[in-house]
Amino acid sequence: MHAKGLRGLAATTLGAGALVTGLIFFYAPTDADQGFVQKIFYLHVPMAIVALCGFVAAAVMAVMHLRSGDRLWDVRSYVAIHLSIILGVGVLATGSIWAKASWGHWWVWDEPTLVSFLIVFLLYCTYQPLRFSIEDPDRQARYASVFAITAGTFVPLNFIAVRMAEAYTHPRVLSTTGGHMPGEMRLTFIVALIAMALLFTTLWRLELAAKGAAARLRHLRRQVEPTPGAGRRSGPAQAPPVAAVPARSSPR
Amino acid sequence: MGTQVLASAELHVAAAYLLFVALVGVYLAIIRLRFTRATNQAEVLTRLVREDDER
Repeated sequence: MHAKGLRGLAATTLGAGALVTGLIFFYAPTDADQGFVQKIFYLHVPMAIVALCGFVAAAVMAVMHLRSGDRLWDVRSYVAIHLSIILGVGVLATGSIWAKASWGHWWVWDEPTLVSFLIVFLLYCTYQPLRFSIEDPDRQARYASVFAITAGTFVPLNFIAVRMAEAYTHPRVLSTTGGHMPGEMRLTFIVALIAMALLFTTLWRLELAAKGAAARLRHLRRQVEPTPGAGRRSGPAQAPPVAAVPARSSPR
Repeated sequence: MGTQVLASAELHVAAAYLLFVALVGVYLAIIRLRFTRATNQAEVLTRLVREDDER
């Protein structure tokens, strides 16, 4: 189901990636203040925004799961959190490289934006141990959804709190005044943001497709493989949709 | 001095972008591995069903 249209989406993502690479290195002017190092901005900031949006999207999917009881929403929420954590690793690593190049330090503890992102990241790092510590698949999905909703509401609150705090060293990118970015820089940034969102969506759908295929195969194998005291095929060999297949103990 | 700063800046930018590409690359490799495993399992299942039908 999630594999439908994936090829087109992947091609669009590749195209957007190529376009944004061209814009970053051949169109956007070099920053007068930071110089060439500022090019990290077009990678670091969209990655952070998409990762945080991924956490919020996962919370919305978790709400859908609790409302409908459909396990597919839980799997979608799980994959969104999983991908956002991976992007979070990228945000922290590229942020550290940028900080070292600009400020001379790998990490600055008195900068609210950095520390708040680290807190959100560490919070979500507890999602997987919590999830896989529960064996019953239904309870696992329910508890994971509650976690995703609670943590997901923390993300925008955290964002607002950081905005309210006074930051002196971290540049403000998105503001009502446009963050004082020249037109070329703003255009490049917007294209970078779209490309990152496309990449996230492509990878999300790719992982869901992989999980769907694995779940259907598990179900088919149970039907085909011989069981003691029974024939090889005990029922219809038609695979149900992924959500109807109970996971071993996790959606992995 | 100016050349040294520029070289350092280029190095940092290259490191950041390469890190991102590596992150996505590793992720895609893992997903590809899963698909390969699924394909292999599907082949085994097809063989089992064929053998069962022939019997």
